[in-house]
Amino acid sequence: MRKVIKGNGAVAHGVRLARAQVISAYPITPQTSIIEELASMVAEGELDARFIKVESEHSAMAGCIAASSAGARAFTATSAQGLALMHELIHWAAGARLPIVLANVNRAMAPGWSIWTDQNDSLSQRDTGWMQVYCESSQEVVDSVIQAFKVSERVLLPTIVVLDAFFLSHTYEDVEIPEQELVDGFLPPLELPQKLDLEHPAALGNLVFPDRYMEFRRKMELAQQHALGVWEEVGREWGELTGRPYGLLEEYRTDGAELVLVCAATAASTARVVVDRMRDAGIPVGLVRLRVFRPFPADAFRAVLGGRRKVLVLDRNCSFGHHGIFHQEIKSALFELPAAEQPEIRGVIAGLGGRDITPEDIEDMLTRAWEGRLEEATTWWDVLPAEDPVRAASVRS
Amino acid sequence: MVEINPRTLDDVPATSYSDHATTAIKTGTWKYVQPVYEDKLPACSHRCPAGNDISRFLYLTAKGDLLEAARWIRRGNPLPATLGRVCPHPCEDECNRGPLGGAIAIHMMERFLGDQGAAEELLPERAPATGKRVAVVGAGPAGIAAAYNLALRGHEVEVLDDKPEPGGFLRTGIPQYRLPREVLDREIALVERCGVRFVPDTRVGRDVSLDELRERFDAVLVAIGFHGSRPLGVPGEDHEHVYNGVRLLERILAGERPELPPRMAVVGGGNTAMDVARSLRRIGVEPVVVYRRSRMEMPAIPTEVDEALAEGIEMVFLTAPKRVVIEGGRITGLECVKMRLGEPDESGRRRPVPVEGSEHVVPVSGIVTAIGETAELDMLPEPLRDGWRVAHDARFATPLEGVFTAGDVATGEGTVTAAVGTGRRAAAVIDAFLRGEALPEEAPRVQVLWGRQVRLDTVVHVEQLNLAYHKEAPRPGIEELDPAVRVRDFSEVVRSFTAERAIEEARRCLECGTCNECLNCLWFCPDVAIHKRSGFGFDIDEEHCKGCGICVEECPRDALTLVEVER
Amino acid sequence: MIEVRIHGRGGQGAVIASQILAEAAFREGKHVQAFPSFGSERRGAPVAAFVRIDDEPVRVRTEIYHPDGLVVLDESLISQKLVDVTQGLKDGGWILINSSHGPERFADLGEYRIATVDASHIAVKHHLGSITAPIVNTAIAGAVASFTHLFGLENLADAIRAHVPIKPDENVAAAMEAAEAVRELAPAAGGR
Repeated sequence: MRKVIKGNGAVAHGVRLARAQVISAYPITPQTSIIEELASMVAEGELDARFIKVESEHSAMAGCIAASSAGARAFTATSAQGLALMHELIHWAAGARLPIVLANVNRAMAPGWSIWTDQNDSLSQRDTGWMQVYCESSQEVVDSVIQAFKVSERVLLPTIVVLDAFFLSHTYEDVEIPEQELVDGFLPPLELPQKLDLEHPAALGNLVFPDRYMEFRRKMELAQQHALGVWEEVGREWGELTGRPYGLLEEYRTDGAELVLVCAATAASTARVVVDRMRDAGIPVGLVRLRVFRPFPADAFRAVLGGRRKVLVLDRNCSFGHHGIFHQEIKSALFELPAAEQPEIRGVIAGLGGRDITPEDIEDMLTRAWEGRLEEATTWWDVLPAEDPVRAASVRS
Repeated sequence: MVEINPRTLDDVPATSYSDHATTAIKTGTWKYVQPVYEDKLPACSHRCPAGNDISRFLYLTAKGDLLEAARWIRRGNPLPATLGRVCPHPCEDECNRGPLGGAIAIHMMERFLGDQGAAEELLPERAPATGKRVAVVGAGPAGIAAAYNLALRGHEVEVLDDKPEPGGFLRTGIPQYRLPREVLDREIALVERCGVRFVPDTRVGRDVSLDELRERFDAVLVAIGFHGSRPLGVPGEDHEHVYNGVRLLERILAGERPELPPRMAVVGGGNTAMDVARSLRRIGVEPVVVYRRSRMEMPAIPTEVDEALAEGIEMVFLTAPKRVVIEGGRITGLECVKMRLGEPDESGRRRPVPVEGSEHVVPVSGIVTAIGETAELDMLPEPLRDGWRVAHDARFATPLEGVFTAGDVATGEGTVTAAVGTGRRAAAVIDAFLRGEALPEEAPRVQVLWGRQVRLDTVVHVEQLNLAYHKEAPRPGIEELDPAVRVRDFSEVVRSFTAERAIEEARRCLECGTCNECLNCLWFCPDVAIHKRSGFGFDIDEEHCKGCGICVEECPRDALTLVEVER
Repeated sequence: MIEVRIHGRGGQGAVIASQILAEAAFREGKHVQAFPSFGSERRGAPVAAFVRIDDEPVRVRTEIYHPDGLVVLDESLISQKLVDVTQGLKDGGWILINSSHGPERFADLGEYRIATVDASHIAVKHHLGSITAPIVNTAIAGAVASFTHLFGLENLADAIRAHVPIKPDENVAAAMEAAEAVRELAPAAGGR
C-alpha cells in the first residue's frame, strides 16, 4: 500500500512488518517519533510486542540484549548522545552475536549543542562489530529495516539502520509499504542456535582467557566478511519480491564517468539531480552511493572506481586528525589497485550539524574537482576562512 | 570578546562558548505572547453573597498567619464569626476541591478566623473623618455591615433599632445553640469600637420620623429586615395556643420560659421552623414539624434538618394543615390533609397538591406557625413602599433623595450573608453619595470591594486548574455535641476547629485563580526570567521571557494568563 | 516540480497544512514531499512548512529556497513585516493569503498572482478551533485547490479525512466553502 509517511514512520512500519517482539527504547530528538509510533502500534494491537520503557539509552540496549539473548526479535532506536551512551553495550551486543536492529537518526554530537544531522554519531560505532546501512529515502528505510533483521539473523551480528535527521526523519513522502504476507514470506520467525532457556540452563558472557579471546574476535570478522554476500543476496531477493533491489552500493550514471562522486544518505539523493544536470551539460560525472558501510564493500568500490580519472568523496562527518571517514576508507581500499588504475581522489567535508547541502553546493564541488581546483586532499565546504592558522585553531603557539 | 558575526575562523572561539552569560541573549525579543500575573475570581467567592475573599484568607491561614487572616476576613465583613455559624455556605457547593476529597469546610474556616484576635489587634484603619453623618435604621446584619463599612470610610454613623440591644434577627431569631450571644456581642462591640453608635429602643415612625432623620443626617439607610409573619389561613388559628413562630422564638431566646402546651405542631419547613422546633425541644416541649412538601424541598439548611432529626424531632412531610381542632376551648389536634407533588411552580419546586379524602388529625395541643416572614412597612412614608419591599433602584437608592436601603427589606434574599453583602454594597454607594461623587449605574458587585487586583470577569472552575499538582485529600469531619447532651440546654452544637486543624484545612485549598507564591512558574521558566520580589509576587524579566507559555501551563491555579504582545 | 512554502505562526497548523496539501496531491497520483522548517517552534512565532509535488519521485532533499507559490496562514506576518514572505519566490509565482480583505490590499507584494480567502471566518463558521485561534489549515487547503488546481476537491476531501482526526465533516465543509471564496487579484489591477 502506498502512503504518505515520514522517515521515522517508515522505521516504525518496517519494525511492525518484521514482527519485532521486544522494543526497548528511550526518547531523544529527532528519533522520538519512531518509538512513539511503535508504542502506539503496540497499544493499538497492531504489533504484538513488549514495549519496555527504560530510564536511559544504556538500559534500552540492555533490554534488547536480554530479549535477544532469550531468542526474541529485538529493536531500539536512538540518536547522537543517546547512541554514545549506549556504547558499552553496543560492543556487548555484537560480541554476544545478537541480531538486534537499531535505527539511528543521524544527529550531530555536542557541543555545540545540535539536533540536526551529521554522521559522526553512527560512525563513532564503526569498530564495534555492528553492521551499518545508510538510507537515502523513506522507501529505503522501510525496506532496509526488514532486510536488516534478515541479514542480522543469518550472520548473527546486529545492524544499525541510519537515516538523516529532519531531511528524512521528519519529511513526509510517498512510500510503498509492503504487505505483511510478503514480509512474512521473506523473514521467517527468529530461531537462534543458542538462547536462554529455562529447560537448559547455560551461562552467557563468560570470562575468556587469552588462549581463546582471539578466536571469538576472528569469528566476528569472518561473520562481517560473510555478511557482504548476504547483504547482496538479501537485497536481490527483496528486489525479486518488490521490484526494489538493493546492493552494497549503488551506481548512478557511472557509464563513461570520468569523475565519480561518492556519498551517502540524503545528499546522494540530491546529487542524482546534479549528476543529471551536469551530464546534460556534457561533463562526464557519475555517482556511487555508499549504502552498506559495515561490512565495508572494498571489492565493490575497487571494481566501480578503479580506472576512473577522478573520485570525489563527500563526507557529512570527520575523523578529526585524518579526513572524512568515507574518504579514508575508500582511499585505503583503492590503494590496493595497481598504480595505473588508481584515480586521483579528493575529499569534501560538508553539511555538518545540519547545514544544508544544496544542488548548487554539489555542482560547485564537482565542477571544482573536474577542473582540478580542489588543491587540498580534503576541503571543508562552505566554512569561514582562516587567516592566522594558529589563531584559527585556537591553540597556544 | 566573542564576535557574534565572525568573518573568519580566527574570530570563532574553540567551542560553543560565550564570554557573556546567556543573559546576553535578549530572548525577550522573540516573543509573540507573554505571561502576566493575573488573579481571577475563584468559584467559591463568586458564589459568596457577602463577598468574602476566601482564597486569600485561606492562603494567609495556610501560612500560619492567623491574625493577618482574621484581619483580612474583616475587610468589609464585620460578622465573620456569625456568618461562619449561620450561613448556608453556597461557596462550598462550588468549591473546586469538591471532586478531590470534598469541598473545603469554608464556613468552619470563616467561623474559626472570625473567633481569632483581640479587638485591639483587629481594629481596621479608618479613613480620615469626613464630617458626614449617616443614620442606619435597623441593627440587623445589613445595617451592621453598612454601618461598619461607612465608619471605616470616615463617616459618623448612628444605628437605630427598636430593640434594647443591637443584632436584629441575629439576636431575636437565631438560637444560641447555633450562634452563642457572646460571639455576636463580641462582633458588635468591635463595630462599636470602629466608631459606630448604636441607639436602642428607637423605632422609626414611632419615636422618630424619617423626615427628622433626613434633616439631622446626610444620608439614611433603611435596613429593617423581615419581621412580619404570614398567617396559616385555616379556621381556628386565632386560638391563644396558636403562636407566631418568630415572636415565640424571640421570647424564648430572650430567656422567657412561657407556659406552653406539652406537644406542639410547628408548621413550616424553613430555618425558622427548625429553630422553633429545636428550641421548643430544649425547653421541654415536644415538637412535631408539619411540612407540606417532601424533605427534598425544605428551604432550611440541610445540616439544620439533620441536626434536628438527630435530636429526635418528629417531622411529617407532604402534610398541610386544614383546620385547628378545638374541643372544649382547648386545642386537641391539627387536622391535616396529605399532599402529593405535582408540577414545579415558579420557585422551581414541585407544587404540593392535596390528596382527596386523606384528612387526618395530628394530635397536638398547640401550634406554632413558621411559614415565612414578610416586611412590616407601615411606619415608612408612602414613596418607600413597594409591595413587600422598600422601593429602590440598582444602586439601593430609594425615591427619596439621600435615603438608601439594604438587606431583606430590599432584596428579600432571606439569608444573613446576603444581608451583609447588600449592606456592604449600599455602603459603597452611600460613600460616593456623601463625597459628592457621581453615583455608579449600579451598586458595585460585592467582590469588587476586596481591595486587591482580581480579574472579576473570569471565574476559575476546575477545568482551568492544572490537576497534576493537586492530590486528593479528604475533608475533615465536623464535630458536634452529642444530641442527647445538647438538647438539655442552648449550648453551641458545632465545635470549632482547633488552630492546627484550621491550618491543615486551609492547606487543602487549591487557591483557585490566586497566586500563592508556590514558585512553580519560577522553577519551570526555561529562561530564568521569573524573579521573586522581596515583597509578595514575582517580576517577569521582559528582556528574557520569550513567551513560551510554560509558566502558564504549569501554574496549578490559573493565576497567570498568556496575552498577545502588541507590535 | 512545484515547490510551495507555507507561512504561519507556531500553533496555527502550518505543518498539518503541508501534509494535507501533499496528501491531496499524492491522491492525484503525484509524488510528494512535505516537511517543516527544521528546528524548535515557539507559540505565535513565525514558522514555515514546505511541499514538493512532482510527476517523478522527488529526489531533491534540501530546504526550499525558490518556491513556486506561497500560502500565508496569517496576514499579520505581512502587515507587521514579521517575515519577508516573498523572499526567493519565483517570478510570476502565486501567493494565497488568509485575509478578510480583498487581494488589492496585498498588491504591493509584487508582480505575482495574488489571491485572498477569509479562511479564519470560514473556520470559525464551521466551529474549527476558537474565535481567537481558528484552525484554518483545512479551509486554506480548499482555497489552494481552486486557486492552483494542484489537486481536485474530491482528493482533498479524502486527504482531510486521512489527516484530521476530529470534526472531519466540518473540516471538509470548510475546505469546500473556501474553494468557492477565493478572490484573485485581476491581472490588470495588479499589473504595474
